[in-house]
Amino acid sequence: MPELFNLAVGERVPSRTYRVEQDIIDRYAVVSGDHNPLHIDPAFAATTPYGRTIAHGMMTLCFLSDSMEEWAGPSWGETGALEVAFLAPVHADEAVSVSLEVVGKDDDRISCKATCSVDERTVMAGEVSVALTPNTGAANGDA
Amino acid sequence: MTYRKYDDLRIGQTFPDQPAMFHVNEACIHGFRDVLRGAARGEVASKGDIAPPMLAAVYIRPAQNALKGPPGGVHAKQVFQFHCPVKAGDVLSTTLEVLEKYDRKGRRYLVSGTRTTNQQGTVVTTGRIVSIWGKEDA
Repeated sequence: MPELFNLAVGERVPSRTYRVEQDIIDRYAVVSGDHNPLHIDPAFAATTPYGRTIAHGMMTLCFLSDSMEEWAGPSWGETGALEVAFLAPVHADEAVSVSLEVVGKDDDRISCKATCSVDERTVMAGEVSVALTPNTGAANGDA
Repeated sequence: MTYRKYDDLRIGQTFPDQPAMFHVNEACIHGFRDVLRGAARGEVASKGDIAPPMLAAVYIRPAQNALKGPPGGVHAKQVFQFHCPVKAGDVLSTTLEVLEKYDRKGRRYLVSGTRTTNQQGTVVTTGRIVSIWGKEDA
């Protein structure tokens, strides 16, 4: 059973850290097809209130989802749900820490407060939930 | 490139005209995981031909791009529900629907919903996006 499912309300999993560099942002733009110049064009970004390029919000969300894959196993991709707000920009040469605290649990699902932060700055926050038992491909017609 | 005007968007309008198709293959799965692996400094394990759930950010992108918003837009909130795993060989279809528009603190917000199905017609992901529309040229 994934480690997350053994936790009680109020408990946390050890946080995971992702290092953001401009090269990572540029590569994410290529694989995602999101070529917004705010992320990849320093000259354009300098004209915006951000002053310099910022990472894609979806990339920070990918860090959370990647962590959930580790913490919740295959159930995350089959039954996972998330709702997050992007609260502050992430810049190159910053490290994003992903943390999770269990806020609800019943026989079927576990719900957690999710936070992504850079040092003391919260950059993304919200809630995730996942079923304690995966569907094992039933919805994909494989069962 | 000609960008769409915010005022021209209508509630209930869907993009693109036909669902945006995305062919999932091993290259896109591995490319996506490689980026995560680079950020995580090698801590991301391979899951074979099963796509990371947040490949959703990639396969809904063509539908988002069909909005043709001006550059500089900002993603404010995101909801995703994963209903079914995505794997190499799947052919996904995504439609984006304009759900809501509103102004707040001088910014123009757009709320849109996405729905992605696989080649069997099974819903694999649903989503909701709140974004701030980019600045339009005068």
